[in-house]
Amino acid sequence: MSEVEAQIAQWRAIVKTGQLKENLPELNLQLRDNTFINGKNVSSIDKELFVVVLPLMKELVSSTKDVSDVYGKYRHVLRWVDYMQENEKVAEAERIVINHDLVLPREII
Amino acid sequence: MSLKLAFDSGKNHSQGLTYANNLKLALAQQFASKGTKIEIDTEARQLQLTKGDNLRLVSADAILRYIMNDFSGQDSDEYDFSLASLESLLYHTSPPSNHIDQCVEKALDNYLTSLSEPLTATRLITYANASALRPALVNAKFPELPKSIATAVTDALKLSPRDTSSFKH
Repeated sequence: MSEVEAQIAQWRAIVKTGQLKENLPELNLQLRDNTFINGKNVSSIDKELFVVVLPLMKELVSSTKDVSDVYGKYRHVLRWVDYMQENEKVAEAERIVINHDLVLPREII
Repeated sequence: MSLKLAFDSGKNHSQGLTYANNLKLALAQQFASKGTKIEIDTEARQLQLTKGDNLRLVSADAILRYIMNDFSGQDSDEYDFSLASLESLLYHTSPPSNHIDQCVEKALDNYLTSLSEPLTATRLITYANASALRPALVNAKFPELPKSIATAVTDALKLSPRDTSSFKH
């Protein structure tokens, strides 16, 4: 039984059913405990997911009045997006601008 | 290390989705790969499969695939249709009734042509999604179910609380 394949199957199913936004807290947990979706290295599922997560996070950040709340809730997703947009050489206009100076509330685990 | 499986208690989503999720988990128990030990988790507040600190899955589709150890068919037309057309309807609050009929009929005509074993995870996911959307249409095509599926259906019905609108007065 493959945990890696199971994680890939999970995130593909979530994307295909259009439920990624509802599962952002779960994605944040996944990325809290892992640098990438399946551990320490970028894999194809990171790239597949990134294509859908980037516009979602851009919309979330740009539409909120409380940016620090979004950053606080999804700090691990934003860290991953920040890395992935660099790794995937996303055009400047398409990127999400991450505010690295924002002071976030302490994370409660 | 044993697996801990928590069923869907049906909070915050439709009865149909709850039934589809619980049917997939009940099917996973029936079609578990050899030597798999599954413990039922009655304390978890949401559907999930855990394996110590190593693994947590919250998608019933992925849980079924993992327990069956069957990751085949994820790029197939059937799986695309099953997730993007059937399962996504279970998340809608009030999808058009005729659209549901059309989708389930298409699934029955093109994909759910047989429930003969050996069954794949993809086929079981299609069956669970179609059954949750239009049980009457699916039951009409398959009046006799293989024993393992029939047992899973009975278990899923027991595990899926009905909302008040499903009671006949």
